[in-house]
Amino acid sequence: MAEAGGTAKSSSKILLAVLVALVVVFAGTTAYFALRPTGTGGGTVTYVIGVEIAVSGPYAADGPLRRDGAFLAIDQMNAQLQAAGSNIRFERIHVDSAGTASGAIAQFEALVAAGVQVVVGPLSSAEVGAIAPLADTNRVVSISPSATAPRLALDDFVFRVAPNDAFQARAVTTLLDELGVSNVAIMARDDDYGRGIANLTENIVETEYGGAVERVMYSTSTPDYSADIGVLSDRVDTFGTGADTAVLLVAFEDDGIAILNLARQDATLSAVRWFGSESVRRPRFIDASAPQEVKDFLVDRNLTGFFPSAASSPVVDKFETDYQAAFGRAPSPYAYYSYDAAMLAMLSILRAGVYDGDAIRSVLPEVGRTYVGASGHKIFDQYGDYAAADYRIWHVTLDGTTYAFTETGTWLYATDTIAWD
Amino acid sequence: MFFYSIGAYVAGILIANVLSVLAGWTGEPFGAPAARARFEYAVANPGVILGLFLGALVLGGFAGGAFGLLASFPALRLRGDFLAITLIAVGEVSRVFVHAYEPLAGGAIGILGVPNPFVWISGPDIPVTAQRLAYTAVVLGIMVLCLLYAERLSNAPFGRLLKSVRDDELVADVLGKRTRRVKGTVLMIGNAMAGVAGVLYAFHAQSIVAGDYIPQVTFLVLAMVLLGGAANHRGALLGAFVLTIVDRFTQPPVLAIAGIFWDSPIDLNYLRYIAIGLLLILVLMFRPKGLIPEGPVRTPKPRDGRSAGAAAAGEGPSLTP
Repeated sequence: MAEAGGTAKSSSKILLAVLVALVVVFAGTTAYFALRPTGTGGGTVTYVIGVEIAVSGPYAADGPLRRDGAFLAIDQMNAQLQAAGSNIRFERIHVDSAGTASGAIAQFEALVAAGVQVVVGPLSSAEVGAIAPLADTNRVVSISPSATAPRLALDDFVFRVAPNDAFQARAVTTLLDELGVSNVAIMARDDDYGRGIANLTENIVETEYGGAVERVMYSTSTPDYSADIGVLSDRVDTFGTGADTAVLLVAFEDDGIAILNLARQDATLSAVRWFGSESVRRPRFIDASAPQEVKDFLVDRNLTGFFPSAASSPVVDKFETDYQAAFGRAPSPYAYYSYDAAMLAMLSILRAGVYDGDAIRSVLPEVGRTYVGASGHKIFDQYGDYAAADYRIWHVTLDGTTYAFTETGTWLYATDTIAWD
Repeated sequence: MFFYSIGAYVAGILIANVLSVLAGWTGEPFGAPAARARFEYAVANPGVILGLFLGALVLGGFAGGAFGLLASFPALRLRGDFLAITLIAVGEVSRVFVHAYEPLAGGAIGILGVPNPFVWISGPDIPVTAQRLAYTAVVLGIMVLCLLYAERLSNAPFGRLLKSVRDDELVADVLGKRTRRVKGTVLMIGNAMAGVAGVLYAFHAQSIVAGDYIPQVTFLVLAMVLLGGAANHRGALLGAFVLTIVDRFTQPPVLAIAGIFWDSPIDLNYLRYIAIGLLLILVLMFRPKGLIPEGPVRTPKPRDGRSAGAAAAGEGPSLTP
């Protein structure tokens, strides 16, 4: 018993020592960042930008790239302000919502508690829907770089710099019609994003083009999609594997690559044309970490998709060069949008002249109207959503040993037509 | 997690349907425009939103308890880990169903616009935090009530019976205790509380999304209990408090309040996850019974003059099934 008591006491001492060590490490680290020279002298006016961009959960792969887009904007703005002799600086507070509604709420509340008046993010429609009441109640502006659900359109404190899914669905269906595809098998994530695209696409194909649509909605919480692939194969088989049948994949990186890896081994699915949502145009699908067979499958099936990216311009080129130089990697498509969201937040604060949610909200539409950024112009509609967008068409190509998303044309919003390059 | 989500769904469905009708909204009840209509109606009608809040608490508790009682039927055949796995599986099935069947609770985006019951506390001179403070006071009050009830239950003969079933169900059976009914009763009571907690969360979050009610929620609560100390209420309370404090006070916004802006190349959010995980591992390694280990049952001196020991031994009137 005495020995047991001694062991318990010694365990408690070890635990106490480790806890003290943890506290010391945290305190030391925070003290270092608090006390180190920042380069800004007295009289500096600091405005805080909340960055609520998930870097874990479903956004573990792409979230950090989007976060860096916002960080780059803040760093560049500070450099410009310093060069201009201004005493204004922007600080950032980045929080990880983990891609869930409850996480988004908790982190948004933490930002509000810290006195933040404008937040870049969150990313998904479910997250934005969850924080919208808090944004209204606390009169804090939220600028989402990638929430695209049409259901969220409301005159509130939430702005969205990416076009909603209705644009993408229109672009996809116009292309399908132009290519003579009338039978579409949709393989989509069973979440707000996947359902949004699938619902809109199905509605347009069936009601306007008289085509047929079959949907396979897969759960994002399972790592095995073999059953879903089996169902998809059956659905495609009922359509036939002619040129009038195609698969539309609405997926993120991990699930998308796993699905493609299974699909390439299926004779039926390997015999039809594949299309992808804008989320399939992420670097992970064709970079060195993706299986060679999957990349070859994408080229072989001529996987084609859209992205609401601005055509190449000096602004876009400068962003891409700076991003590469700062982080040593290319930006993912939505990094362009998080860059613009952060820029709009800062420009609105500067335009308003006060750090206040109401003032920022009132000037933001006007700031957007005169802003052309890495993802194009930012004209908002009456709901604070991106009013209109053209979509670039891309497909996966292989040049020697290099895989790329090669752009081949543009879907024009104004005319609902496709202009090939 | 399952029973907690039941409470949240009850609150969301009640608000989305009843409050929408009262507000004169006839369109789709889950989206942002409907949420705006409900919010404006709640601001103008404090009695209605407070009444619906109380109704949701009652219904949520009742639904949680009813589902808990239903869940006790498999509990008659399952023990320990197998029961836990079964309940987690039931929770996942319900989550997937609610997620997939959009007309029930808005599907993937969920139900937006469950107004804070104190949303009507507003005005030019009233800070927005007043609503939150009022709601926090209500939540704390309900928590204290639940805690007092649980404490009283644990120290009653029924609490001792629970411990005996936990320690050796066979012995309790042999001694004539109806252990199956005990399991059903405790699942019903515990899950009624979980249902109430779900309602409270729904009115706090002001939206209900099926994707939030994942097994990690269960494991987070389990981690709180393990950290504080299983089988005692003070331990569970301390565990929840410590884990929440560690989580909240290492967040970047809290550091920013202290004037610290983290711009290291290493993302602070990742460091937080590592630190919290490490803390849990250390506690499990060095204090496996938690920060406050389970203590003896406190037996109050009976009013009829019998000794506390005799009362503890179960002599005399018993409330046990």
